[in-house]
Amino acid sequence: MNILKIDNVSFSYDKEKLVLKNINANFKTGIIYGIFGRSGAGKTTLLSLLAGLETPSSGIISYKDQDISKINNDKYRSTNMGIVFQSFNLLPHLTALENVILSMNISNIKINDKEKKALALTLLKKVGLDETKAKRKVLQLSGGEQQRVSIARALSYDAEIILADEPTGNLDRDTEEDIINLLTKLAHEENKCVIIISHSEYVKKASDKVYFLANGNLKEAQ
Amino acid sequence: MYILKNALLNMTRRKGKNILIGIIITIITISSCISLTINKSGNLLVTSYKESSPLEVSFELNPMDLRQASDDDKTNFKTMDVDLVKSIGDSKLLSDYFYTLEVSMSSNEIEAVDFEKLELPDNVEPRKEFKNNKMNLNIGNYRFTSYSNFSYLDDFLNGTKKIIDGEFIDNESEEKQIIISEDLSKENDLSIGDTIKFYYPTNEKKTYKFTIVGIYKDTSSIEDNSFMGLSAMNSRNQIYTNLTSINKIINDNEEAVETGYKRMTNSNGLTARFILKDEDNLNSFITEAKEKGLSNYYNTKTNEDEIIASLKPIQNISDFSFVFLIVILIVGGIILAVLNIINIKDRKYEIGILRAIGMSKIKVTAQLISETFLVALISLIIGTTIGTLSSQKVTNIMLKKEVTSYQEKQNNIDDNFGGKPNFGNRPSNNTLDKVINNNTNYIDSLNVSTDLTTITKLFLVSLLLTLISGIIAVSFVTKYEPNKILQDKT
Repeated sequence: MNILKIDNVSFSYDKEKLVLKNINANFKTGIIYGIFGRSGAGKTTLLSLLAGLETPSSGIISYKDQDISKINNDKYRSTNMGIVFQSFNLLPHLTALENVILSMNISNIKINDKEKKALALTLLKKVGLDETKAKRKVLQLSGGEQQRVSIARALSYDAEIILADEPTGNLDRDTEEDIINLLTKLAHEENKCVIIISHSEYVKKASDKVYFLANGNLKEAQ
Repeated sequence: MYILKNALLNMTRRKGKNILIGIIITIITISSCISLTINKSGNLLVTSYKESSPLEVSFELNPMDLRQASDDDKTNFKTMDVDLVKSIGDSKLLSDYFYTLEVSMSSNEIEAVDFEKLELPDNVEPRKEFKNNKMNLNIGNYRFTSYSNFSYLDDFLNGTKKIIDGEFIDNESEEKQIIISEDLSKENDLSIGDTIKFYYPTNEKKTYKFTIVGIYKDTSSIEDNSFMGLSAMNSRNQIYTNLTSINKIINDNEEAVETGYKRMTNSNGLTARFILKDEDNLNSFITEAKEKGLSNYYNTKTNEDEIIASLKPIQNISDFSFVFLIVILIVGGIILAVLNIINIKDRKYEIGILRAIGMSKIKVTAQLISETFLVALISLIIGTTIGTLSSQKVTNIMLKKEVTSYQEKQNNIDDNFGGKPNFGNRPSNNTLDKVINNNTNYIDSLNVSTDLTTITKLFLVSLLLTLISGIIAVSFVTKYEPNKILQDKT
């Protein structure tokens, strides 16, 4: 089943130069997608469009056959989609644990505070952060550790789609493998749709489907 | 619920900036509290003064108008007499009324106080040509005055005249009592219990024997009563007597009294003042008086200007405090809004993240407003407590002086009337009067600053101000799209 569909989408920031030109793609659950391209090719822009953070200049992006520009974008981002940002976008004054719990609160997940804390700790452990680190302010964590918090946050409310922008960019090879394995499991075992934007060869190998973005065009690798 | 938790967390996290906002809200609250109290205290004093100084109405005849009137009017003209005064006084629009009767009398047994014998100031020249009744106006040397209610005798109320020996006359007494000035008693070596025979100037044969029951000291300046140099016009020759005595003299000499006064003033020596319950009823009262027979040739005079002039300083303070309150709220509101804008712009990135992970604009706004609200709430509690305590002091200072002077005035009035408290007490609705009479600790009972309505109003206004300034600030930030904020940060 197509959970996300890109239909003839074009996008430009300044109404002159198109960053994306009439691109088309379908994303299904249970599959891990890799989107590759050179820096500045528009990968992050594409992720923003899929997340509803930007609106296409033309064309439609639909979630379960509904135009995402016509649905409640806040609810879409807070419940249906988990985003791992390239620059983490964690709240610096909160601990790793609080960042994850905040995300659960925003998504209005129906479990009590104690269960939220337990779930958050489990997720953080899954991405390689123990309880001591979980209770540290995120600024006291390394870039790689912040990246893991960001991933744990994206997983915290059981979204159907995981959008990850360079999720392993700040991680060592071993951790990269762990994280990618985790995302692969989510796709294959928990039937999530995982879309990863990356430069990593390891991610490329782990992806079920690979897209290349160049000169505003999105092409599926054969 | 998590919004409130986050708000609390952020409040403690951003201590410095929140303390600054808190201090400003506290200052605004204290200033507003004091302004409101001054305004309220001022209004209380104004109300109190108005209650103690009700609108008094008198009717005065202008002889020139009557002289120019048609013959018919002159024939039909009826001078206001005691019966008409009583009829007009019996109005539901009045809280009280009183009248005074005056006749001039002569005596062969005593000498009037002469201007030449008084220590005149350098700039006052006695007018000798009018001295000692040389104009032959049928005016005696002594002015006999009586009041239907002596508690309205202004000279004794304000202390210009004061009983220094004996006691005040009794209006109910059948005895012919008088009180005389200290100067007149010294001039003729008179003392309490002495009797003097007086006669009406046109009827020397019929004498009236009066007993001196009191001697008063007259502190009025000589210039005030040097009118035409007539002895009767010298206040030292004024003699107060009871109403029954003066009525008898007037009845005995009815025709002469009328002629004597009418020649000069078209008056019969009667003046009356009517005290209105409500100043708004002035026109209705005048209409009613005319319906009861008051001639159109009488002009209405009130003490309104006097009351307004007396209230002006307090009214000015009260008005100023209100303007001050508005200025505080406007300036405070602007400062708060600017501080909030700076504070929230600092948090643009945080707002961007919250929006990016799906927090709605309404929830972001609610969280930011909750933070401001919590800071405002704490500051308001502190500010209102300090403001209430300070304004109690301000109230006390403002009212204590007023209450003390009121009490002193009341004591002096009793003293001026020779220690007869009943003379100094008119029927009163005065707030201060009630407070003083009912409560020994009057300041405690004037709990203006702790008035719950005032605090609630202040609380709501300050809260509204905080919320408006918060909303203005939030609206500055929420108009940005989250992606734009995050891209800017990156």
